[in-house]
Amino acid sequence: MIRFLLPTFFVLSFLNSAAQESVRGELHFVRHLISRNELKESLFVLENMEVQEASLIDSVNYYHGWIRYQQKDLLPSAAFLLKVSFDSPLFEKSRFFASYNLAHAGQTSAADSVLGQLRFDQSGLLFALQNFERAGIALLRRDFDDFGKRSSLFLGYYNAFALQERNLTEYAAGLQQQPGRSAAVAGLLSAAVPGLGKVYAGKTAEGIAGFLYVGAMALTSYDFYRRSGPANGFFIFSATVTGIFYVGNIWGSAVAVTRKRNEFNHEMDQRILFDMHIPLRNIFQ
Amino acid sequence: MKWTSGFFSICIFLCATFSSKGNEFGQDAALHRGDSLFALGNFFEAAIAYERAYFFSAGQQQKTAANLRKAAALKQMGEHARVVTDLQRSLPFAGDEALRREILYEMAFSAYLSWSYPLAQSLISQLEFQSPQGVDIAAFPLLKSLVMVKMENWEALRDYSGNLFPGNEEDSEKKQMQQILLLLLEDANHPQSLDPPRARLWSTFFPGAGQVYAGSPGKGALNGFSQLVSLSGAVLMAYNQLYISSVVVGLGLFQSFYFGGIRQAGQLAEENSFEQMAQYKDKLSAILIEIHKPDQNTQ
Repeated sequence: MIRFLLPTFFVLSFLNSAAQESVRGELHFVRHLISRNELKESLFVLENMEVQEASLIDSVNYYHGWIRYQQKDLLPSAAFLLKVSFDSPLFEKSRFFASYNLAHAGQTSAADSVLGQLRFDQSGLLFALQNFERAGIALLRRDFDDFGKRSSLFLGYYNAFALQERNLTEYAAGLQQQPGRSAAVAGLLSAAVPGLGKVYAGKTAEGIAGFLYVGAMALTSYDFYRRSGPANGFFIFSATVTGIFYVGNIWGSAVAVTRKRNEFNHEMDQRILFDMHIPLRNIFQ
Repeated sequence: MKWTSGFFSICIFLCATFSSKGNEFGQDAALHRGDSLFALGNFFEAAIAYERAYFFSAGQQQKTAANLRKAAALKQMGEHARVVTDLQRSLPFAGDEALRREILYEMAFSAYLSWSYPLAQSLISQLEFQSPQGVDIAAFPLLKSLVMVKMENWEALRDYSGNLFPGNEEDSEKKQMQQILLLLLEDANHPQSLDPPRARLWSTFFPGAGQVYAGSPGKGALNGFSQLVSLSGAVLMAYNQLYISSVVVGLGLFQSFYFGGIRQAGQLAEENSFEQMAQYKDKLSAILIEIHKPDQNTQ
């Protein structure tokens, strides 16, 4: 019996180790494809791999997430990166990038929760990075209280993100000082002087153009009125068109306030995300 | 004894199966897999298999062979720019001169297909420099002359056109085509290059004339007519004492048509010039391909 079991055991062990060795080889190949920016190909190879060993499963999930991240497919990337287990040497990197991907995709609560579960030595780099990233997420949520608490822990000590810490503080100040313009005021201003509401909303060029268009049309209408009277067809047509443009300008001025605010917020979000990204790429090369 | 020999037989079988030559990462297995995928028309997976063969093989000759086959798969996928960058990595290691020339030719051809004509020209120069006896690739003269067309090297193409016959100098039809080619290459038959500033200048003083110069008389007439109508409208309104409307509507439309017409004339000159040159190049390329096509009777 032993004579049968012993060789079988050896054969199976050899078979298994050979299979895992082949998976390792494939992972090297995947890394090679990623470095050549052949992302579609590397994803195809990964999807066709059969992996059993836990450490290799972690690697596969990590590469899957990393390729999706390179392809700007952020939510699937986060999902794969979050599958990387605690035992993996890639655990921290995966968690940080998963959080960043979630934040970029607008899921700021989930992003913060991912980072909140990490525990680091409070005097270390990763703790400072964790605090910085969570501060960025707080700013994306426009939670200035949370940001204040986290920014009070900014050290300005680590070169990898000292500048970005200062930037976040500036963005927070800019966001808080953002003038609260009213759509109703913009509308009223444009009713008084066409285009003035747009200037108030921060769209000066649009305001001047609007003033010239409506003004020119109003003058033309006046010209027809002066020459031919109110019953004249040209006057009625011209006055109607002028009226439509006048009302449209008032509406446009009210909308311009929201538009300008959205543009400002979008630009700030992009800057915050950009600054959150730089230290991740510098630290986890 | 029987069990022991059985065990060792299994081990030998497994060693053979998973050794670097025999397993799926082995160069030969990967190349064969690539070949069968290529034959089935699955070029994407074939390219991956060839890249795997490239990655796992140790010898430079084998790497180059895998790389060339990958290039063929990429060409089938229409990814010509990638062929150039992929083959670039084999160039410094291709020890065999014939292989090196083949790589250079493939790179030049793919550079041509990916519209990188200066790169194609540079690779052709390298290929010629490394072939003192002449390049022994049948399609090389055609590629070289097509690149000359794209680079607008008319004089060089005229001198080189004698090399285009693949050997059958008796073919009268091809001889005739070669004469047409030479005729087209004469300076007088080059497409006239239209000067956008001149077109704009014409339209500044004579509304619509710039468009006529650029080869679009219909657009010129329409623009001139629009300017005339808007100006007449302005005059008519002023005559009826509608002074403000005359300025705002009449002159407003007139200035729009006038300055728009000047801008349009310049754009048309640029576009038509480009279009004429593209047609000229297409005609030359078609003739070159026809001349170089092997004679059907000799096939």
